[in-house]
Amino acid sequence: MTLLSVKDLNVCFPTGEGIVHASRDVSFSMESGEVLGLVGETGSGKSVIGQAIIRLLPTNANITGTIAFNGQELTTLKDDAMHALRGRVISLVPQNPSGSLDPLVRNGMQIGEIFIERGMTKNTAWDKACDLLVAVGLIPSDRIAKEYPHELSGGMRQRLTTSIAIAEKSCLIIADEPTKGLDYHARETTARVLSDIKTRDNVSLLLITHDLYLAEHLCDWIAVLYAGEIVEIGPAGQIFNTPRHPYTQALIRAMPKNGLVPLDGQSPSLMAIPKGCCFADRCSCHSEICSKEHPDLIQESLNGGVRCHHPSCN
Amino acid sequence: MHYYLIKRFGFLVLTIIAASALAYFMLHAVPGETAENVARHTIVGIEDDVSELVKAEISSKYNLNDPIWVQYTNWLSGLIFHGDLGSSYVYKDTSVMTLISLALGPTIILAIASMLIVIVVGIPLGMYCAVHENRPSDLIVRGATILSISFPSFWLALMLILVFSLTLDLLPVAGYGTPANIVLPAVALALHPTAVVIRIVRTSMLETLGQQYITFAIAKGLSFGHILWNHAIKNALIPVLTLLGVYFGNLLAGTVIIENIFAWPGIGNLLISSVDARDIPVVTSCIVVIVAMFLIVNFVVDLSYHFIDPRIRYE
Repeated sequence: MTLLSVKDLNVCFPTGEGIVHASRDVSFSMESGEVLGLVGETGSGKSVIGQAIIRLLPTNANITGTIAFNGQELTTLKDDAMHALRGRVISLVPQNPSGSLDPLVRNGMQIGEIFIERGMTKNTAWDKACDLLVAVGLIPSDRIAKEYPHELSGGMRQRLTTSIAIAEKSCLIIADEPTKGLDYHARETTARVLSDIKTRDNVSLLLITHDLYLAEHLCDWIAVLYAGEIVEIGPAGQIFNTPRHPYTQALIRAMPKNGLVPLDGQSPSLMAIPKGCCFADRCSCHSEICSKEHPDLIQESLNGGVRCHHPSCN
Repeated sequence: MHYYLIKRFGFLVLTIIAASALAYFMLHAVPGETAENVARHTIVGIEDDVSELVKAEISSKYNLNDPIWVQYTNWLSGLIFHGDLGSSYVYKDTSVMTLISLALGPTIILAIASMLIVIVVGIPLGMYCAVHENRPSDLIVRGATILSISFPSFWLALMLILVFSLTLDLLPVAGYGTPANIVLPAVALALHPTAVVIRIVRTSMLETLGQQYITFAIAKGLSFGHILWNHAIKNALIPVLTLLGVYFGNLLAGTVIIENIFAWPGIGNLLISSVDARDIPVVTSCIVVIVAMFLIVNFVVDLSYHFIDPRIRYE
């Protein structure tokens, strides 16, 4: 069944210099137990989508569109009801684990406080926290639980925040850039922890990342974002084997194993979105229509769609 | 940690010696003769010139004819080897220790009373303003803090006397001895630091509430109350602690003007009257005590970080 259905999601931020269109007409849906990857370069609006779902955007954000979760509309949900979902039904693995951990609280209590809030005794909560540390490979858990976040490495902090996200049996886990700033080894470990989570029953994972390697290994579906909109969406295998959008093709060529071919140019400013195709300036096969007409996301089949006037041109 | 403690203690001793030397020599650099000033403050009826005979008598009694550095070294060796601060030139040879211990009690009581007001009023109001950012109540409190920062404390003290003593007749004008006496000086002293603490707590709290760990705490599904008490307040108060330490040190140093207005027999009053009379051992000793208290309070604050913030460990 459909767990999450996002339709025409628009998020913009009014600023002194103009309106930042962080996310434009984003639509996708997720079945339960699936892993959907939102991939794209920095500033493509990936994180904003995750924050919009769990409703943690800054108060000045302007949101339109619908986000249906288990048939419940999240954008208009009362604050109390939304609060009841957070951490219990929808969890977050935050971007920047270092900043997301309270420096004055012991690692064990960063997890344990969730259980204490649910009415457990301090001892039970502490024991459960230690179990979760073991589950993400933070061993010896009793020593690490007593330490403070600054005593952990970046990779360990990442695993700690991940363990917080799986503290309760959530249906949906939003993992925001879980491998950002990690070295190869820590990245491998994080990938393994996330793939463990994936194998558990009925957990859907919304993986927000610019790490295509991670996305390829974990995701069932991939949505490629460019300048705040989805330019291509489809099953992971199809995206990686037969990418159709020139941007997706360029991203895949830029992966180390495919020769590390960089893509020239920069994505357009989110304050001044071009009239035609956003990618036209950087595209090797653009024609006249590309700078005049904005392409629609054409759903060719159940297997996703592509937002391009000349799909599969390369 | 032991090394750190020893280092800090050594620093404390050196600072005290330096401060006492500075006080001692500067008093001698002030124009006018010590013996003459002492005579004017001890012998009733001297209006015009103090006779050479009287001056010579006083000078020889207190070794004022010795070179300054000899006088200072004598005083310092008395302090270091006998724990003796010397005796007063003015108060009929009373030991300085007695004078200071009499003045220190009132000063400490007043400092603690003011500090309690600063903490009990300043911190909760600052928190309240942060949580109610830019609402009318926040604007009113912030407006009040601007007013109380802008007015000098001696003027506020006089206004308090005017309103609460003279007009409403609720509290005594001045004096020392009953609990009612402490209210007005404590409030007058607390107003300025309370206003500053409110503003700092508010700013620090707003900054903390914008941190990622607060956002993540919301994502964890924790209640607002839990987040406030267990995460926001603790983190927000760390920078405030330093400020509170400085204010407490200032209050312990005695507050000359407020003690004067309310006839409070504290160390500020003792210091100012002793400067007037050139009572050099008393002035120097007051300064030593004030410096020591200030340093000890700040040392305690620094040490408390060790227990509050796990990132800070002294080696």
